[in-house]
Amino acid sequence: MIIDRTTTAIVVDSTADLPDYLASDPNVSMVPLTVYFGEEAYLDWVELKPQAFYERLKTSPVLPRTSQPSAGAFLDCYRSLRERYERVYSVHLSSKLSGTCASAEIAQSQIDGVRVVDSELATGGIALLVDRLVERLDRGTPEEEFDAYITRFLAEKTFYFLPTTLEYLLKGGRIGRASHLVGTLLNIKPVLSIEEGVVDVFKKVRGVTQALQVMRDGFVERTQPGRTTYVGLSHAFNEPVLAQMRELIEAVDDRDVRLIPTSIVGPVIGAYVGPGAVAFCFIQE
Amino acid sequence: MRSNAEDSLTVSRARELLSAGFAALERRKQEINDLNVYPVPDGDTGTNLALTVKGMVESITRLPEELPEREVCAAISQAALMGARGNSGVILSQIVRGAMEVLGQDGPVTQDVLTRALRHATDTAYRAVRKPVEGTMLTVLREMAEAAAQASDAPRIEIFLEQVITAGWKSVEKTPSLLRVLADAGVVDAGGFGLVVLVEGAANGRAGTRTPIAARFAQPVAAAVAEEQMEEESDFTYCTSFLLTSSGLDQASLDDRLSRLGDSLLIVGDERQLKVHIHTDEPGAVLGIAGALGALTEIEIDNMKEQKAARERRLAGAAARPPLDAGLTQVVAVVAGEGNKLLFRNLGVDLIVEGGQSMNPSTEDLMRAVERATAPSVIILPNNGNVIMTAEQTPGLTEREVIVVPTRSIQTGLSAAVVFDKRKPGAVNAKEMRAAIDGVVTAEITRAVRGSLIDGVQIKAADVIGLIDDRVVVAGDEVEPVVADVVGRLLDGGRGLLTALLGLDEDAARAAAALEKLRETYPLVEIDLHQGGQPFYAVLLSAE
Repeated sequence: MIIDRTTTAIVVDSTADLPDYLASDPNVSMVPLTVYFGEEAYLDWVELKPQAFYERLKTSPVLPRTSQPSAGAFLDCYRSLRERYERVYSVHLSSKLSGTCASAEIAQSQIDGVRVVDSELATGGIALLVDRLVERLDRGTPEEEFDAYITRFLAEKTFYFLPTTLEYLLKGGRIGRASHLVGTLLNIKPVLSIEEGVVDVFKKVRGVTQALQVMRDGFVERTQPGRTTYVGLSHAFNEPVLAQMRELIEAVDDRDVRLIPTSIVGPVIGAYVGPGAVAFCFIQE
Repeated sequence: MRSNAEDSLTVSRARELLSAGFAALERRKQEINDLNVYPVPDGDTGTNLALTVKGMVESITRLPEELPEREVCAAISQAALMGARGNSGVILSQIVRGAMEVLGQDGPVTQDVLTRALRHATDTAYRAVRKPVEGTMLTVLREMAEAAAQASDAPRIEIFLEQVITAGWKSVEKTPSLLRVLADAGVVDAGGFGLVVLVEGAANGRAGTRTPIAARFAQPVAAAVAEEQMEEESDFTYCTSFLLTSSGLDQASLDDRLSRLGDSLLIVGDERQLKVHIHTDEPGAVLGIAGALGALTEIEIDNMKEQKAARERRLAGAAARPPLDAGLTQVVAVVAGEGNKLLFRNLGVDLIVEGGQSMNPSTEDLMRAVERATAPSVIILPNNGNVIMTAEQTPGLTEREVIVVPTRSIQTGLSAAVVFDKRKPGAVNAKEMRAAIDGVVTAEITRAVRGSLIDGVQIKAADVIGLIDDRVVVAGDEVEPVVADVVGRLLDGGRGLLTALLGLDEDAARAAAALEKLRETYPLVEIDLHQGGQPFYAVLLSAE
């Protein structure tokens, strides 16, 4: 079977934080998580956009909570897509961070032709994977090759993120192996990674400049000269740091860097990483 | 064997000699402290040597009178090592070790034996220093050993000793011609000077012996009377010690007031800082008197009777070890200043030893902290160039893995502590810490304690001076321009993060104001200001 635009659809949840060109792609559908401020519930990205969310976050006396989509929501989505497509790839937030994958898997068990993929990632990392998959839809790819690419992407991708504060990760309980992190007085900037789906500390440094340098060094170390590397950047409204990051990556010698359009960290992920966070994901083709 | 053989080294003779040596060092300590190359308050050589020898005297006081020679010497070696403070103290401990290895062999102490002891002490000390530098106490020791070899057939031991000591003073006088920094600062080597004071003092402690002092260093010297109190077994219960910091401290008057409250009283230091040690039944009264004069830190009150009982229990194997912490590594850091301590604690450093400039901790102080650790590996951050050698003595003294990451300042120590991760093994942490401090440039702003020409900068006493990586780069009357100059140099080369640890004095406030202004000059640099609370330095800076 050939995976292409006529045969195959892609489903994501709202934590993929897709940039516009992917969000409006006819073959890509999105099932939202829910964000709560107290008793008020909003569908992530649908009823609450990032800008409004971060405004609200600043003044809210309570921290937002989030919840995964129901299995029913996924099943509805899959059913309607299966009317038009033979195959559905459903790509989601790390199962170690959220129950979203679990909901999708329950839905998957009730219908044929759906494959749930645990991206072991979040936000721009998922968007980067979707970007790579959509390109393969465009050119038409044998199913085995398409599946093999997903496997390789999950094994070889690198994802770093830089919160401006650890407050939200700590309070939200999503800090994983980074939970022993100490040091709040000295402008400590931990560069965090997601390893095997879990938040971990890549390196602890001081100040944003050093943190960006650490991410750049990680990029240089894990990519080879001359090969094409796709890079996805996302940010929770932090243009200055994003621009520095972009500049650093583009200045690395001898790498064929393809930056995909930047995405904005949406409400659900923003509730855990806080305003100003920047994420950086890359994969070598 | 000549007929002028001395008796073998009994406990009482060793005590006599060491006490006399200590008394001489104690008397001339300030003179030695004043020989600092850098016109900044430094790990004071005189104080360090005196405290190191004091540790030896105290330990020997506790020895049973009839101990065999070999064990006396071993005990002195051990005490020197445990009490070693500062680089000069550590080198002295190695000198003592070498000498004791020879003196501990059976037989009377003859001129030949003393000559061999000096020779072996020289070899041991040179080996202990990674890059021996001539013009230091090593040179002075070597030249005394050489003089001993030439004088070993002197008719009387008094003449032998006189020739050795005279050679020592000549060697001290020569140190500026061997070491440029000494010549520039117009001083002789403090460690070498202290060594000869010690040897001469000990030699004078031999009943009836007086050796002449070379003219240049001649001072009216009171008879070398050992402090008898220190030789008594104490009847008091509490061993009390503390550090008193103030200004214009009067050592004699404090001595007078405290001596009525106990025995074994020892007060060392200068008018800014005194280390006080006393055995007393009224620790509260002692602290009351001292507390009225200044700030008390490092207060230690030990119940000696309880300690003795505890030691006996421990030896009996009764003491249970504390449960093992989940971490693999703990960090011991030597830190001065309450704010700085808080920063280290905030980074997960839970074993902090008070100290730094002008009050270097001893090997024993560091060992005590190491032994409080429950993790299998311990990393020591000495945070001072003058503590590194002391720290490097500790790995041999415990079965625990101890790794020294040779941080030369509080600032580099913090950079190392930033990457500390207790879940990782000691070696991994040490590697990451070394990488983290690579490329960190440090600076200090302080006041010159005297005029000098150093590193090509002309300095007047009380000038504000800026040092980068321990070298003076600028001096001036006002804080602000010196801060601006130093910061400019630090940030040269595109460093993006400047950390400032503010000290206690008035200059610190001016430095802080200057740094706030500099935010406008360097909009792209993150300037991170903290209250460090360290003495002597208006501000400690680092850029990375």
